[in-house]
Amino acid sequence: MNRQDPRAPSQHRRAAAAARRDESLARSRARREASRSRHQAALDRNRRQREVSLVDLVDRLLDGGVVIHGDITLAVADVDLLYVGLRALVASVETLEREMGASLRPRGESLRAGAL
Amino acid sequence: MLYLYGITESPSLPQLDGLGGAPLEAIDDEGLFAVVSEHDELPVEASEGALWTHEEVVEVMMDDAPVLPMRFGSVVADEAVVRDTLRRRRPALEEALERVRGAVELSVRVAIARESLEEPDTDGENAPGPGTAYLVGRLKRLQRQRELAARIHEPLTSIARSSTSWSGAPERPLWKAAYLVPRDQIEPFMERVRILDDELSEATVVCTGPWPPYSFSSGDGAP
Repeated sequence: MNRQDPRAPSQHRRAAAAARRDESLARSRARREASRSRHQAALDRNRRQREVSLVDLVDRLLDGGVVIHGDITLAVADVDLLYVGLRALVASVETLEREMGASLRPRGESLRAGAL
Repeated sequence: MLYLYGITESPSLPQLDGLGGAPLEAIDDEGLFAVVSEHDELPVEASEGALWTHEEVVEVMMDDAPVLPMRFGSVVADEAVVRDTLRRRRPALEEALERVRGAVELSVRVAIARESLEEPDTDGENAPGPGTAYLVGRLKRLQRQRELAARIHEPLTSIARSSTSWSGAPERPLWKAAYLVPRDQIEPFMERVRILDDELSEATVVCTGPWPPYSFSSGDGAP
């Protein structure tokens, strides 16, 4: 019993040192993991932002902005042709939005409404 | 005919080409300027490139002075129509320019994970009929969507000068908003969005911009 006494503290020290080592390893692993997931989150965010930019662009340019409805001098047919052409673009954006779980235009009215 | 990009207070022209490579011109009426390009025929091809060209012109204009962006595809016959428009709408245009002065538009889109809106069916015993269950479920989803939107919207409106938002149907959970944000608040705003995106596991929050104030340019303050 007595002979173990001098050893006990040293065992204790070793155990404590091992625990500290484990703890520090775990901490650095956690730090690495956190940094990796932060990095990944930033990457994901950038990718999402690039995809969303086009959706936001279409949304704003075709639904927002100043409208000079009454002053547009184009024949209605011309304007309709323009919108027919834009539909293809809008359709591709809608696909993009569906993939993102989003919808293009809850604003509804679109293109010709909302004159200043 | 003239294609319009935006209306501003500054006579300086962006050093850029307009749609189809046409040069930009400014048409003025006593301190209000419309930036336009002249075309023999309808200059608007419906392409992503054309949208970005319009956007780029307006963005460069925005560096100099407040701008009211025109909706894509705004075409008028000639200078006289532009001057007449500027003159007739001067009060509304000046008011709108004042409203957006020193600010940009930031867009926030929130895609909500559908599962997070569902709730496990707990009261199996007196379960309502399928019709009622459907309606109740729909209502609950809507409500949860609204709560989630509020958690995002409130901290962001406190940074913004003005805002406007739209919700999707519960079948297609989406919420989006536009914020008019003073230039010196852009970074804090975007940082707040990043924090929200990290905090909310049930939603993806994405911010884009700065955009010209497309959603804050019409006369009544709403897009």
